[in-house]
Amino acid sequence: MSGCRISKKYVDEALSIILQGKGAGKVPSDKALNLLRYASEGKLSSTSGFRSLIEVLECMDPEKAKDMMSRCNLRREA
Amino acid sequence: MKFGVEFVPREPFWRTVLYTIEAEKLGFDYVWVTDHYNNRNVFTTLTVAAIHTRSIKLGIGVTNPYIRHPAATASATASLAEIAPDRVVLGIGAGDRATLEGIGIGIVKPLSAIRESVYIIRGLLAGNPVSIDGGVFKVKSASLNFKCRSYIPIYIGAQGPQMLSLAGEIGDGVLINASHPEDFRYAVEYVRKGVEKSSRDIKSIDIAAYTAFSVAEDETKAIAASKQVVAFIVAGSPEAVLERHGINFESASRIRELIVSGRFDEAFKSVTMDMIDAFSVSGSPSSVAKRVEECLKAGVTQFVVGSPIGPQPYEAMKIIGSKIIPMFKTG
Repeated sequence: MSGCRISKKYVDEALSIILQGKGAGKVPSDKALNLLRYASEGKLSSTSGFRSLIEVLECMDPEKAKDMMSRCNLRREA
Repeated sequence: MKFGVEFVPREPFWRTVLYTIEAEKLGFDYVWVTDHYNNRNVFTTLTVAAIHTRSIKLGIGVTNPYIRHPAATASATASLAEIAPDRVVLGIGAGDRATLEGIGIGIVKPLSAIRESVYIIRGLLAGNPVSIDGGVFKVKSASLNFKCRSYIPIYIGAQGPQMLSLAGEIGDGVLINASHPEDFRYAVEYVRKGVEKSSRDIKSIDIAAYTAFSVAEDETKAIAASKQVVAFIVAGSPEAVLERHGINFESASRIRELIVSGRFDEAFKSVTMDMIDAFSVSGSPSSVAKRVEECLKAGVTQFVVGSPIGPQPYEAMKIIGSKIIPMFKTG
């Protein structure tokens, strides 16, 4: 699974919500910094990069995060 | 033509930085982060942006010499340049009167303050001991305890004739808060006068249009998104500026009254298409591209897209990156 790439469509959709949606203030800085690291390395389409997006999205909008995870066939990490 | 994007760090730092990362990927050359005491700190925000980007220029856009002494600005700017060498640009202007007065700071002798600040900052960044017995600042043999190894261009935020001329005389660039080509033609003439005093070439000055910008595939939505920003610009515009654009004084004054009395929705609804045209660059990708072209012809060398950017800022940035920037980067 770690070598899989997430479709650009999903990455873009998640980014769009994260950048324009409400609830940015609820995101803890460790999760935010993790996301920035993947974004700056251009690795948001990797499974771990996309998980960093989902982790931020979960803080802002848990329902949307759940929906995206199921659409991308991603499971929550234990 | 260079392209910049302005962010107001009202939101958590990470979101402004994430926008900056995306701006770099989309082909923007500059990010400008505003400096107001009531928002996130510009230097902190740009430090995180510096760590997470590689090529985009990082602009302090703009600070002022009243809230932060120019020596402190020099130190902060040089520290940022240590993290991002050759990528830092400093914007400095007289400041926002309403915001500064709210914390008891008056804007005193703005022309002298900017001239002296640029002298102090340039000297400190160059590693020279600086002394000045100025009309605003008194500095005796000040110097930084570390070396700034990059050249940091200084841009002056200017609107009035004298400040525009000063920017032409001593600035590496000028940041002009306007959106209409007519305003830039007017401004460039004054910048040119300053340039002549310093025996430089106007081509050595980066003339940056700091615009109120809104783009969307749906022109109606783009225009609707800029009404709020335009209402505030109209309310704060002097009569000479309103007159230049043929804006009815009574309508402008009505909007001002509505804003002062907190009736914002009514104020935004009172914004007319003439006002939108005069004080913003709003519309579909093709209509805003046409306006960018007109600004270029008026002498603008950097086009900065400012608030609101679009009804959905990230979508708008993608439009700018895919449709507007490429038109001005080729041929």
